[in-house]
Amino acid sequence: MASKVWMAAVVVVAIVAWFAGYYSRAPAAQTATVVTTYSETATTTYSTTVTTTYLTTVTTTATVVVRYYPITVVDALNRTLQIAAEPARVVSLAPSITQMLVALGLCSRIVGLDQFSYQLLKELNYTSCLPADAEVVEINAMSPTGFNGDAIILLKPDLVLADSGIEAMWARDMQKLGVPVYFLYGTRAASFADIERDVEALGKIFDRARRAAAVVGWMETELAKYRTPTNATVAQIVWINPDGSFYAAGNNTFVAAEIRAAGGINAIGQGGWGPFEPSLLIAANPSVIVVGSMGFNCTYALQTLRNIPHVSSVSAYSNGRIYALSGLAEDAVDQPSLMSVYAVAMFNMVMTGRAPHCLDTRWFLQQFPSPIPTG
Amino acid sequence: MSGRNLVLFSLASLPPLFVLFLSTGAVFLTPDKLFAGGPYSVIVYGIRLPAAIAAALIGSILAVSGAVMQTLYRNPLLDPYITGTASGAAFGALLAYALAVVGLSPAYMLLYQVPLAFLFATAASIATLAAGRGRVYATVIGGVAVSYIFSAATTIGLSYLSSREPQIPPLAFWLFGYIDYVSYRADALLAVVAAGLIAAAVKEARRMDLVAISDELAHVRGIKPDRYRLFWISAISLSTALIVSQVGVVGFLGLMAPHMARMALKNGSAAAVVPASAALGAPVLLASGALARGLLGFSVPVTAITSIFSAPIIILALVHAGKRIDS
Amino acid sequence: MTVSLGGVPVLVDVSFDIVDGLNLVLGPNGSGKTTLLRTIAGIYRPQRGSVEVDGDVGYMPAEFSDAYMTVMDVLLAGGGRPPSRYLAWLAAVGLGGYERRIFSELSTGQKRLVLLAKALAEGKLVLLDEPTANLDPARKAVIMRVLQRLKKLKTFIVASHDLDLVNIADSVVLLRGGRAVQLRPEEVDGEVLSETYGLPIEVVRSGGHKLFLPRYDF
Repeated sequence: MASKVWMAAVVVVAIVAWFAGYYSRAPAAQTATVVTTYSETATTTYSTTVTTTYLTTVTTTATVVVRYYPITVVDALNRTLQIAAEPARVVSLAPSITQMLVALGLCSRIVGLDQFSYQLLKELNYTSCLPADAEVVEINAMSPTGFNGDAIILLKPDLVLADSGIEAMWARDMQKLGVPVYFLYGTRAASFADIERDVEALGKIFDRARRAAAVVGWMETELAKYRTPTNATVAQIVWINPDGSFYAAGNNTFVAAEIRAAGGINAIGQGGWGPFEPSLLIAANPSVIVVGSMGFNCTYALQTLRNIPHVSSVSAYSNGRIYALSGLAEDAVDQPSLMSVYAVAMFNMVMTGRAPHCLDTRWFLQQFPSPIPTG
Repeated sequence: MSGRNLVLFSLASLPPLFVLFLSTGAVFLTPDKLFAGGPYSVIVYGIRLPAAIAAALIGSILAVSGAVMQTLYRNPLLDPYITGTASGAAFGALLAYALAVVGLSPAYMLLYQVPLAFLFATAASIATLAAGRGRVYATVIGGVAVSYIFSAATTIGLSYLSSREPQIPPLAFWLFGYIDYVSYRADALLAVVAAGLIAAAVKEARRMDLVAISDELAHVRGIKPDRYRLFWISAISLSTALIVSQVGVVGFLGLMAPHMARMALKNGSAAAVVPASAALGAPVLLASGALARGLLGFSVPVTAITSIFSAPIIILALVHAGKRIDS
Repeated sequence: MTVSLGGVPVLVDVSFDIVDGLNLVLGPNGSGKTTLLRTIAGIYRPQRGSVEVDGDVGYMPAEFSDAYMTVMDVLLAGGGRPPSRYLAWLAAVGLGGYERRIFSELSTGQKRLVLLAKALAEGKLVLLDEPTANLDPARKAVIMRVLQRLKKLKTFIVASHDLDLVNIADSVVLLRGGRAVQLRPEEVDGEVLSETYGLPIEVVRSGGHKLFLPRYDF
């Protein structure tokens, strides 16, 4: 019996010691490695003219270069990172992030991007800005280990940019692997201010603060164009189950922020994405319904609304104010990023009756010919 | 098949299965890339090797735990999660999310999740054992009740949190298990637990058999059966809680490995099945882990694979048992 | 000694001498036979009095689980004796060669014999709880013959309702209402049995041994 007690004590001590070791390490201050460049924005030139009494005029010019790096940044998950030098090899794990990198002129640094980002760039016809050896990193957002650590490690990135909404669960394992990762607000954004904060954060990391400020300014200008206060109540529905329960943008989601920025009211009063009961839609009685593509073509997507019992009593349905998003139009609404200003534009057009029932990529590019400001 | 042959066969199968495990993943590494060094060595030695070691150790621990439980409780349908460790861990993990949602910094969620999972897995076990106190029936029923309570709390908590914070990560890791990213430190701890548990179980196997045959006889030989069962189930619950906090719930192995051993050895005594289970558990989980990582481009939960493996085993075992009952 | 279980006195002021050979403890259901056996085995501790046992004790339980293991595994379970000793006693009860057989596949009588062999290997004093219960007459005869033969080597204490065992007993202890009366086997007659069991029992001699015939009133 004594040997059993001993054995138990050893195991318990081992476990306690292990967890103690866990805590003795502070939240990892990570160091992003490599490429040294001198910052161009932080160069100060001093010029001094010295006149002596010895009839000699000496002019000394000293050029002092202030190094921008290393810097310390805090990401959306409140993790601290040390950036030792301007990251030259970047991996983007979300299309919302990729949009921002392109707008900041950093597309040529993207050595790896997730398949949805790549899809987005293809739709925008922007794939040529990627470096020749760029790779698509297949991720699985449903899997807790789906960030494809193998591919990321092989790419040897200086920095990985991830989304703190969908991808936060990967943080621990990525840290375990020693991958330098910075989480942006991304899909956790609740307002445009959060998106602008992401742009500014990237500006700080890449020493492109002026460019970032220009992008933010551009966003604000675009938003101001489409802010028409209306009484329209909009429900954005992303999926409908066969029994009529549905998933839609709750009032604390980013899509609700887009609707509000367009001057409308989000019809779904509860928070989150659902699933919601059909009665919630009936009671909310939105004047406009926008559905996602759900993987179908426009006509079929609109027809799925019929799965919701009594949907015909909803004023949006009976007035024919139903619209379907697909392709770039859907991306703009779903991805909280630069193109979200166009989501606001689209919601505004939908609410004021100036949009077709099917908003697809072709229509989108007609309305907004150069979606991402690269200038 | 004799016990020794089974153990030898299991051990012999480890090297090729290790190689298989090291090859599989999002990037499939052929043998030349595997041993070449260079860019892939980080993946092989930094990611996959510690995971492979963990898989082997965890497989052994779970299998031996199942064998001990099934012997001491005279019930072939028991697995090591019987004291509610699985649901407790899921609840602990969810609690970590909840703390992040209500305002604690998300970085703390990263730090607290594993210890909280371990804490609640252990708490669930303590609740079950306090209710059961080593008695066979009471412990099993108590474990079922505790599991249900924690599952319900987790489900309700999840629904509530989802309405407050739209992006709640799925609990898939905790519920179904992923052996992908395990640190060498965790491996060291698992090795200590494995060594201790297996050595003790093998040494005590004959006495476990006595408890299985007759509580009375056990008393006569100086074993207090209820206390003995309590000791073992506590040790097993602690080990299981540790495993769940590291890789989530790896199901079916503790249930099925002892059955495999029994069928191969044609003998159900602990003296035979305990060492055989310990040996079998490692290659089975290594193979399952390799399949879980290699079948699709990304990892599927390892429990999905172990359950596929266990279906034919369980059917065979039932047919076997059915024949014995009918005859 | 006095033994209480759960606050209820089961045996009150029981004391008797254990003789060499076979000691038979008889009594109705609930009279405390099993309790007595377990107390001697050391499972229970008496509230008053003491049990003095010299050396190891072997125990053959009345109930045991149908274990799916070999006979050898059953013998070796928790016993701590060398395998050769168990095998020797296995042969002594007539099951030599059965060690590889699966215990759960044996007949009830054979299972009993295995557990008897185990008890014999594990102690000089061997306690048996209902060794002949649920056995057909032939199997019962086998057990009785084994006990008869081996009682020269071991000391048995047998708790049973099987009155036929009086024929092989060297001492009989009658329990009733928690109290004990110790008799020599010759002294066991119909009167004393009827008093113990509360039922008329006749003793008849036939072929050199006693037959006990309860008078059921149908």
